[in-house]
Amino acid sequence: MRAIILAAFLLVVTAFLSSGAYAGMEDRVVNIIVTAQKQDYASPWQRGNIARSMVTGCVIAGNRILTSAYSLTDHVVIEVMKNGESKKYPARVVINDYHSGLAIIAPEDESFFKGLKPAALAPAWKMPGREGKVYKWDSLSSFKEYNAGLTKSSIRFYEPTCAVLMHQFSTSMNDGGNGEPVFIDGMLCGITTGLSNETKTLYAISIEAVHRLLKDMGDGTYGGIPFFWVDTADLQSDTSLREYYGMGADDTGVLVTDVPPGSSGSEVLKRNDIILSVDRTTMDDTGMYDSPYGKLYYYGLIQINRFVGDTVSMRILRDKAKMDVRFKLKPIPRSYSVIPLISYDSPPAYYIFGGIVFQNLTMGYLEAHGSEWKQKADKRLLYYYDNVKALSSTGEINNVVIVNRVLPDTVNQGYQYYKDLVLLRVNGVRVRDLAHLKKLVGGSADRFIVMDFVGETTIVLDRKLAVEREQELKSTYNINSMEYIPGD
Amino acid sequence: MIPVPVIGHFLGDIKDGRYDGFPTLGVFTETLDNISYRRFLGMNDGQSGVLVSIVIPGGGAESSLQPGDVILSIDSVPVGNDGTIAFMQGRIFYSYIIDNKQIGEDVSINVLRKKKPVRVSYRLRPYPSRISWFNEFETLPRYCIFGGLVFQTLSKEYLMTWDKWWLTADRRLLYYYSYYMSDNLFPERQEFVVLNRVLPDETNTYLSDVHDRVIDSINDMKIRSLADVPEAFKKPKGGFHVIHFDGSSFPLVLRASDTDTANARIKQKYNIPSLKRLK
Repeated sequence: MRAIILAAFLLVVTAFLSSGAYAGMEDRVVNIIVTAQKQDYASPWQRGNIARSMVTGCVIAGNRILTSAYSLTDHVVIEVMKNGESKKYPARVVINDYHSGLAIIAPEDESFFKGLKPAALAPAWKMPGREGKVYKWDSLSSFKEYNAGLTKSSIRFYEPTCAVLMHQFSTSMNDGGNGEPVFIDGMLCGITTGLSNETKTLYAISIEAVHRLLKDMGDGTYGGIPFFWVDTADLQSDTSLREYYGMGADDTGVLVTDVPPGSSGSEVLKRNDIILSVDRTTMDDTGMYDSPYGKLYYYGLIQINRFVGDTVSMRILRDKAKMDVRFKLKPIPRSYSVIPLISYDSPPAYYIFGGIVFQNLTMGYLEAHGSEWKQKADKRLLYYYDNVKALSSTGEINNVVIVNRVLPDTVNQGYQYYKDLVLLRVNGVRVRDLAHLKKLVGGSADRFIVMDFVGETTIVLDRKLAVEREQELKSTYNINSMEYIPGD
Repeated sequence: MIPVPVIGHFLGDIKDGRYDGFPTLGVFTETLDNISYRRFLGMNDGQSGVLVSIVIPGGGAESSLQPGDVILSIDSVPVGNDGTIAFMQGRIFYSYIIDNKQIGEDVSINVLRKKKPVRVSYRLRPYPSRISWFNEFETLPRYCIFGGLVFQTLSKEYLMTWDKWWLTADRRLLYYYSYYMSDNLFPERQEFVVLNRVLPDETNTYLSDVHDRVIDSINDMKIRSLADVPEAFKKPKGGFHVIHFDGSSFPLVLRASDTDTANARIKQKYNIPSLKRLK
């Protein structure tokens, strides 16, 4: 009996303590309602489904709200709410950086921040502990706290060019990973960006990424995570391989396998170089270096606390001789990959001629096949995706132009089952992108438009007939415009 | 039910005591349902046929047909724009004519070449596949093992070793399998040699996770068939065997002085009767 009473007492104390632990946290954590409209890759002239989702944000200094960029994808309306109040404040996006996974939003009415307090940010590389708390508003009015124990820190990639330091926490949370802040010892240590319900793992973008973002924005222009697209392979401590490359007994590093033009360092690094250290920090044969968070992949040395314009030095082994190279970090180009790897927030570009719907091959197009797109998409398109670096390095094209589908009409009889074809040439000229395709078709004075595709497939259209059918096609398929080519 | 014409073909085929299978026309064709395409090719609106898009190397038609030819008729049977011929009360795809012939028989074709009619005739051959897509029952797979590296050739049978292979097999292999002919991949290769997997041994420690790579070269010798593999390993470069595969510049490296003893050790350790079966 005594034991039971004692246990009950302890329970009450624990409950009391835990409610005390997050006292005041509801002033730092706000609710974000995101209304998003998906893109429709099958019928790119129209927009897709509208969905609303609940996202969490964290108040930071300067009347701003920090959240996860991937919780805001394809948003049309963003509203914020606080402290269990019913009033919804419209908010705008200050920055949405898909490379770091972080976003900052701000309500138009600054009175929103009355009664709210900015969170204290943990200092870089000095996490105050390993046992964290995650906060979110459930069903608008109830404030929830969950435990989150740090299990692992690692470099992860939203895009192959951009390293982000992330932490993994084991948690009891069931629904989350949408921008909830993680606090340790009352200090913000991360912003969640994903939750695996299977493994109960919460993924959080590190405070280092937050510090980088805020510092980068400080001067009013945002340079972004520096661009590094060099491919390397692990040497895996193999004695034959190390001997083959003439490495000394104490040398460790990674082998450069591909240097796409345009990447930072492309002017000094060469294929078959071995990178031994970055800014004097050495790495092992799997490319890992020692950090306060344990072993991290060497991209972290180039991208975690670094800015566009910074200089990076590397010690490399080239043709069995050691040498030092230095290079300046460049910004991520607007389009560096012939298959755009992030295609949120903008409707897909398209061009329709003779009922044939041309589009760019993009990540969004592939992902429109569903979560199993790597199994279900056309094998050729997947091969292009897997080899995008080599495809981009040739400089021959800006985009991979494909036939999404054919809208059946008398003018395109015989072509109506064509889909996922990769366009090569129009009247003998290699097509670089959609704008170029439009120029070649529109500017042609020839009677026939001859389109050659990869795989020896050809489509021939009578230009005049195709133009004549345009109005009919528009009304049959309810198309407002035969093209959307941004920047054209 | 297997229909009578197929049974007849089978019985005719095995008259010489050996089964050879069906011949190929030696070309891939595109249908010409679109009137603008036909006019572009110089066909009048009364003519019909299919367009030669690919002449299959080694398929028998190389010296007779060209890409861009329009096949108007096969053995004097007119071919429709959709690739069909008259058959009983309806229509059937033109390959019916070829399927009824034996390998070694002749076929004659009327084509429109650069807007002029031409008649060609040639001897039919079996389909010269570089990646076998047939069921290979009762045929033992060919292989070659060197330094614990197991080399095989890419085939449908190879891909079918994956569960739900069409969805889950290696994506490069699936692309090669699906498109090697139409995309004219590596025309110099007679077949695609694949590093299936690595039998772990002290000579290949770092390679043990490498699998399903298509081999480009060994010791700077381009690999065009499985038979090239043992030849290429006879000439190491600077004391190393250096293997390159498609899609990466990262080489696999084996120390040449180790490999003879390693081969003997691996043969014994994994109880392998022979380190190669090339035929």
